[in-house]
Amino acid sequence: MKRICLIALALMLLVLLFAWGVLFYPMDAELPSGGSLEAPSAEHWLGTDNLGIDIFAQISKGFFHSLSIGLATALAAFLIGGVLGVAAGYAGGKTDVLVEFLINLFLSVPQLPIMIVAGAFFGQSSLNIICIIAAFSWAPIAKQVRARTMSLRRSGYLVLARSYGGGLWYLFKTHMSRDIMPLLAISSLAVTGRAIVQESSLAFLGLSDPLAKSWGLMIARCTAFKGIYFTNFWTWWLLPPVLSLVLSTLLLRLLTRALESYWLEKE
Amino acid sequence: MKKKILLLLCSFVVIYLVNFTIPRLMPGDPFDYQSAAAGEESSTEMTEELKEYLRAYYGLDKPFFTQLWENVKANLRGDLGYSIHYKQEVSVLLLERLPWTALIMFSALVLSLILGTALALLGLRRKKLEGGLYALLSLVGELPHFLVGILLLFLVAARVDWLPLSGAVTAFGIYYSEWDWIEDVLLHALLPVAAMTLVTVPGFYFTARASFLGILERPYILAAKAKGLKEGRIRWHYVFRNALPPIVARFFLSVGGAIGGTMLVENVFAYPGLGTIMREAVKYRDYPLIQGVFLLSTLLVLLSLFAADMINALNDRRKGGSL
Amino acid sequence: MKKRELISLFLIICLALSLLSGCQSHVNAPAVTGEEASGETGSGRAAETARLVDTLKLAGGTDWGMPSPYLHVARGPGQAKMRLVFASLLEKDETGDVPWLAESWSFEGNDYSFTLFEGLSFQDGEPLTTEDVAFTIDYFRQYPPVTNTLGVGESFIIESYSIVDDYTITITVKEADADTLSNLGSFVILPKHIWENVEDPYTYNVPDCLVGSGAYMCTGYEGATGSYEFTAFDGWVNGQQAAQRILFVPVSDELLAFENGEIDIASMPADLKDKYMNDPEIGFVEKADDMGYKMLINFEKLPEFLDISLRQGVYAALDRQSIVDNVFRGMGSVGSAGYVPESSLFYNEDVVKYDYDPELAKEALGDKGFEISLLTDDSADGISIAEIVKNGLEAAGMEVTVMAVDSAGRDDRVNKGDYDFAIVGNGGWGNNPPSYMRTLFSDKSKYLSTSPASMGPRGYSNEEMTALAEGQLKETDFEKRKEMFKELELLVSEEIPLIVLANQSSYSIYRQDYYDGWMKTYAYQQAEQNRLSYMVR
Repeated sequence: MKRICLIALALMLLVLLFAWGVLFYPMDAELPSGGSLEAPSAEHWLGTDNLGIDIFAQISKGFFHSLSIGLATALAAFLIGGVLGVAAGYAGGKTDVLVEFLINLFLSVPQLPIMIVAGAFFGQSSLNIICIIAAFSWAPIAKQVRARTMSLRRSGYLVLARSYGGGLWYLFKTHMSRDIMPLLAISSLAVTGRAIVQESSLAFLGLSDPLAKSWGLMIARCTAFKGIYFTNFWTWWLLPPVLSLVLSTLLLRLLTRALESYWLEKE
Repeated sequence: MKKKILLLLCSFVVIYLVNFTIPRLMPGDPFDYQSAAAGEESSTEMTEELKEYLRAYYGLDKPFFTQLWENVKANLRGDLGYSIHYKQEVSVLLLERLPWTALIMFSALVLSLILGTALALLGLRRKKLEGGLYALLSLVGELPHFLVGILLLFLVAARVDWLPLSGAVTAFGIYYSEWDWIEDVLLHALLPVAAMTLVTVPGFYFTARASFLGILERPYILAAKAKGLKEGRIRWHYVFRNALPPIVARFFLSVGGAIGGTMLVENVFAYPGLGTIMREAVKYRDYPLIQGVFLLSTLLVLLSLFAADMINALNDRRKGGSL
Repeated sequence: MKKRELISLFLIICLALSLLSGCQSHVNAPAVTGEEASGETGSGRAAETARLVDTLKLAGGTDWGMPSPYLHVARGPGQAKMRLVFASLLEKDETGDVPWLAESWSFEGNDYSFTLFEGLSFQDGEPLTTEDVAFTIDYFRQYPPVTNTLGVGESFIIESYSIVDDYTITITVKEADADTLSNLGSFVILPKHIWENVEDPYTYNVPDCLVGSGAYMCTGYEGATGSYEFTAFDGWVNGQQAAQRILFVPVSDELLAFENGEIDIASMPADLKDKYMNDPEIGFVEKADDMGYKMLINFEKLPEFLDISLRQGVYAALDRQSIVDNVFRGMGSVGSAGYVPESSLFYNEDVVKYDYDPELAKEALGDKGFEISLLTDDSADGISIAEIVKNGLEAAGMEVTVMAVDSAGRDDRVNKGDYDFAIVGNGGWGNNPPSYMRTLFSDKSKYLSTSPASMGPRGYSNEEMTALAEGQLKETDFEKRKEMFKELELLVSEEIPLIVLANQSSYSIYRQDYYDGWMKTYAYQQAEQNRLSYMVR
């Protein structure tokens, strides 16, 4: 429990720092506010990029971009995975066969190639990116939920409740949700972290929303800059988005781990 | 087993259809791109007539289902079509690139397997080490491949003279012996493989660790210990051998993720593999090439999944027999 | 059991290794080194002495296809490589057309006569005669090559030809115009003895397809790594090649490679301009205003903008200088409203100039409640420009949503007219004559090309403009044609059928003491892509 609090606190600090960057930091994340590639200074905390746009402002904005994509993806995966998983596990029969096939299909497709093609096909808006990543995130969740639901269904009190004529929604709400919800929530949190990474990978390949100040895009722009290797520009242009990405992914991961073990202990 | 095979076949058909349809629905077509000199100097422009001519030449003016049917027939003959952008047979292009991707991917996987298993074994002997190792690896495993690649590129390759920044071999390099060439290739592959390995080792470590711990709880280990067998002998004969199948299965299960990772890492190091050509094929709307890369990677992943299933099934049967 | 697993593991490693080695030898070092080598390859050495340099190395890394007329990629660099290997009848230098395969030429009415040099041969040693020229015309009529100046089907420009003798051929065109000589002079000649048996040139990729008629032979090509090797062809009769070998080598960072001497010419990023400008050893090729960005207004969707005061308002709303300063980092100029950039020979100083005037823009555009989407490609520059345009238009009271898609998607939308405002960037604005003016501003030729780069404004027509744009093509007198272009520019600047945003210049840098032969033709500024850059002159 203490660990969870510590990690959550660290995450909160990160959120606050970037929120401050978006709300009160005087530099704009869209418009040039200084010369090109200025080194970090009191005015520009992390310097400026090739267009003279402040890097800290961009990183801050990028954080909320990444986070919102991650959360939205997680929500979508939560809903799809939860509904399909419970439905398959509870209903069994044909529904189960179909859902199992879908789960296995999405687990076996080589993800990145299909993401590249789909990203180019559906266009490069944030919404599409969310859909694409969510499409490849729900399957593991559904798999777990399905297994859990199946084992629950066979348990005595559910059989009993069903024999009294309880509807599916009622059964889920009163008897199953206590067991399934934490599982769902933790898996979805894991999806958040993974979605952030995947979005930045796609952005690095130039397949994410080109207008968003996303970290992957910043990294791609910097590595594509001519002559970047024999200047020291990369120390303030490349490292901040890389480190932010690493830090936020790791914190999310740690939080997921901690919650997971907490829940297991409680069981 | 039959069910598994059926499932894999169905997956293949669905993926094949998706892969055929999506590129054709993308906005733009291959000839648009050739005629549009976006951002680059070019004095070549195509008239609508020439575009029509080429569209008819590549059979893209036919109805969708006719194209699909002809495509299936051609694929069954082993003909992957002709790349519109590169003006080359897709199979030739893929054969040119596949060895490089395979080199990176399999070297990384084999290295990860060895390292992961070795670290897990080490962890069994030194409990102190294990805690740190576990925490460290569980974090490293979460990093995206391309980030590790970029960090290696800037922190290592750009600082060290003898490490190349990109490519697979020195262009127009002069080799006095076959070993010179191999050395050159290995130097170029070093960082991409390192980037991949760093991210895949944790998966193997956890699998190996779980497998070892599982075996150690078995009654026959206790029996062996009770018999007074030497520690080393137990570790090798009983633990290591019996714990191996899940680790090997893990190897095949990792292929799917590794393909994606390799494609990204290739783009970081401008490595001439399937990843770089895939990105270009999408950019140029080169349908046959997109399909070719896709088909190849899908086959690779599905076959690996099948291999993993086989190993697991064999292992289960053996366990069932011995217990 | 474990044996089987170990064996399978071993097999995988073997598979990887065997794939990697490809079962072929990679040993390629000369058997002997130093002075002995030059003695041994005596004949080759003798030919080399006339060359200025042994090798010229350029940045490669991109696969531009096999340098053959049917296989190269349809972009500048792909075409240029093919044209090193394959020769056309004429070539262009700084001021005009010069002999290439044809020693002399003349024309009268629709008849164009070309006389070839004596002793021409293909790279396999077979003689090159007018028979091959005639064959090429027929072959291109049947199978259009990737770079095609002769037209397709009905619009094939050649009516007939007659072979006078081995050296002279007369080509009759359907209708002669100002560009005819250039078009006839630039198609490349194929060896008849190879291609007469080829039924499907688009898939003919055996080594034979690289037997060319040009000054350099393609002696090495590797698509995957984008490396090319060209070697001077000893049988070339029209002048001397400057280098024995031209290499396109894949590099990780162009500038780093230039600094290390791995390549001999590189493009220079704007931010390092000062560093190189002060270096006396470094030579420059300037490509002035060659890249340009324009904004198309779709009048079919927004007929309100047919009112000229609104278009003037758009010009007034845009801070185009900031595009030059911030996006191009100072290397470029604000676009001329007459379209042809300032640095061009054909530029008309009298074109109307529109200044950045937010107040005026607000008066013209404010309170009209326009809501438009602004289409751009997803390149870094394209997006930055779109953001500057958006800021300007929003300050003037319009609502603008930027929509960025990849370039293939952008082109598709522009071609189909699926946009409100669209930003299109392309190269070649510095070309002379500015023949692109015809496809942009003539109502008749507007949709001839399929490239958004030369796509005219939709839903806009202007008879006077069409007459001028079409008329210049018929005018074969250079000065008169120039005047017509200037008149057209003035009209365009007054009528504003499209908004010209800004032009970007670029520079290539090279070491003067090593090789100084880089040149621009009167029509084309890309020194690295001009054949004469690789010849002793």
